[in-house]
Amino acid sequence: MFERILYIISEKQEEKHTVMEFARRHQSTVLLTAVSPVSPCPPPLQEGETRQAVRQEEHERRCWQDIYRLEDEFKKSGIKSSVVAQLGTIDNIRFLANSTHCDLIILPTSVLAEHDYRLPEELLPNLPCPIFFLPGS
Amino acid sequence: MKGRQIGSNSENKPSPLKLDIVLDLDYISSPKEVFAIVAGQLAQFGVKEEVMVKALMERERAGSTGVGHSIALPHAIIPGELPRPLIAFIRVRKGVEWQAIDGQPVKLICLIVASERNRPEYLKLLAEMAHRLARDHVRARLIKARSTDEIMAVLTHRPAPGFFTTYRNFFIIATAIVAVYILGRFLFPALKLPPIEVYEKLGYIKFNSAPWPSREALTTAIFLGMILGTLFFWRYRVALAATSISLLLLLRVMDIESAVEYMSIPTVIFIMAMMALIKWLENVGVFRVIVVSAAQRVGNSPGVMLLVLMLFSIVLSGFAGEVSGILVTFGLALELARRTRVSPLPYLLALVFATNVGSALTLVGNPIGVYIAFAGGLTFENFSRWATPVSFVAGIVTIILGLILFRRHLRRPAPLSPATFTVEANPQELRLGIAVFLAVIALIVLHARLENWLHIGEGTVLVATPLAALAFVIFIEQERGKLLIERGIDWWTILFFMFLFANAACLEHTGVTTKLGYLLLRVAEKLPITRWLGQSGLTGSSLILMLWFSGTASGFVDNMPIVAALVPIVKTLIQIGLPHASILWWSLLIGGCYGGNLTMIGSSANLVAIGAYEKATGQVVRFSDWIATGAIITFVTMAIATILLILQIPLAR
Repeated sequence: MFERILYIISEKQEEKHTVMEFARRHQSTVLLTAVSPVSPCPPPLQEGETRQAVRQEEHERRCWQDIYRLEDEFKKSGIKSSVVAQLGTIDNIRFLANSTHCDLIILPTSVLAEHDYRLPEELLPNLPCPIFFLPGS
Repeated sequence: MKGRQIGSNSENKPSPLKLDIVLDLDYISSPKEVFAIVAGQLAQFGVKEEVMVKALMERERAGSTGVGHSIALPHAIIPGELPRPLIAFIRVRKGVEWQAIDGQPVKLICLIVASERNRPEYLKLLAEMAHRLARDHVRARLIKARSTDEIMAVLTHRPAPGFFTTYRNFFIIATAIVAVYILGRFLFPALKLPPIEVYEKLGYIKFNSAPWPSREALTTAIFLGMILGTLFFWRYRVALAATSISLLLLLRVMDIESAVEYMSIPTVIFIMAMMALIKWLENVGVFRVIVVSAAQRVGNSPGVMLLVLMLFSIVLSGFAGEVSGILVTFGLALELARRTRVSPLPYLLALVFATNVGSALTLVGNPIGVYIAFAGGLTFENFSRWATPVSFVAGIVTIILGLILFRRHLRRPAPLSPATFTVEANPQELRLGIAVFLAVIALIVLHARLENWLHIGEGTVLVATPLAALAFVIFIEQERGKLLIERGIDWWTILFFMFLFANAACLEHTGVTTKLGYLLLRVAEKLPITRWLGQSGLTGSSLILMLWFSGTASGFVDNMPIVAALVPIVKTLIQIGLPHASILWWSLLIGGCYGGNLTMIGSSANLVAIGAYEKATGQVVRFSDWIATGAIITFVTMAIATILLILQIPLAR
């Protein structure tokens, strides 16, 4: 039923076992990606652009490491998985879902917490497939 | 094999990166062939070829490593011992089918193999390569690289930009300000207004003597600094405009009362109230319902659909503003393109072109129209007489050109199903929204007659109408009314406009625009067209200069600063009695609106539509995609407008 699942990993990946179980049951291929948290407040004034860029880069690097670590775990568990070559913000979910032709999006609620529990207004009505909000453990 | 190491201070970063193999291939048939070639070359590190190919192929079966964006990151832990993870980078110019998640062929392949004991390092390397290849500019440089050495350099070498490179734009602006100031100190004292009656009567002769020439140099330098600043640092535009105002106040070029007066509060209130009102109408679904209803009636031909959407872009931008117009029509076009699997780029371009042309249709289509209306004391009826017919003709031409230029994309026999467009709107709210919209438009259309009839000041009904409508909406929306005001009004833009208006009016206050107006007339006199046009020659040449300058400049800088700077010149030319000079208002409006089609950054509608396109497709609109068609549309529509306006010069006041 869900041939391709787009799984947006959270920082601690507490939900990964649920996703694995779900993917195993549906014999799905899991497409792994992550989104950067968007702070509702602007960065502090004393933080220059260089520092912000460094922090962003560190965050992205950590995301990629989490994604490949998780891909390795999925593979060891016999679940088909691929990585999506793009990290973005929560606004990118619609694009990612469209470009990967996925049948389901799994979005942990902890990712939403990082976004101040806000989804872009136009996101839900325009998604090409269902979205599954997964609570943390 | 050459490799360059990079340092790392962060615990997240892998140990120094070393590429073991870099290959540049023209064609390759399959992933397996890539693996075989690389395995053969990695044999020198003790890799067994068959084992490596088998491990990589097994990994592909467990899920494609084609990660999208023409990238594949094949990787595997292979049996046996390797001293460290091995990395090979392969570029395949013609691409290879990889069953990538986005279905696109792969051109950039980064292959990583390691033995079990290197697993942590291997995962870090994978993450690092994915991190680097995820960047658009890195991929673009890798695709364009002319040699394997260049590929190697792109992947491993990251030079830190120097001080001057980092602050290059800042130095350009600072240099420009100083240069313009020095030039102004020489030019403005030399540029003297002639002691003719009209200048003496208007009190402009004072601008020939101290302290005005030095103030003129100062004001011009500060204004140009602000314009350049907004060009390079758009997100700081409010800060830049505020800095300019502060400088003008502190340097005693103008006082606080004048600054407040020059902020053109009626214009700002009108734009602000209309912004909130239009946002509410968008939320209620009024515009979407109108466009979807029409789209559902026209059948499923791509050409007819584009025609309808362009037509609505013109009308909606004329009556609801360029941003609302493009948001509705391009939103539908994106849905259409997604369902029919065609590129939305032709729709983006065609609809933006139509929107910019349509924004000159009425007084409310574009903030520059509102500003011109208040500055020139023009009514909606004046706009209907002068701007609407020209924009109507230019709009029709834009539609025809759009259909011709993008005909290749419209031939695709894709099944279109506009009937599947959905509109979720509360019928009661919808009816109320349509009623409010029609009432506001009717009152704005009739504002001059009502003001005459009620014996109230010019523009009173124009300002009061959207304010009253907004008050009504806030009242019926109750709690949500506060949100509407907070989010529906682009406060950032409003502040920018206020400061910008004051900056531009200061050019008039110090006599800069009076002298520029005089200079414009002297240039216009020398143009051969002045002689050809006979009695209207000087006005015709000024019209041409004004329209084409504002049009071309608006393609590269936001149109509002350009128009704000030129408005006082038109005022001066009217004051000094240039015959039929009121026609210059329309040349300014049309230049500012149509010129927005020239480049990607020409208008707010362009930026909004490009943002939506990039968000929906993940692709970037290139300058070259835009400029070819944009230049044609801009040139043709501006030429048509020039001819139509010149023909009507004798009819103008």
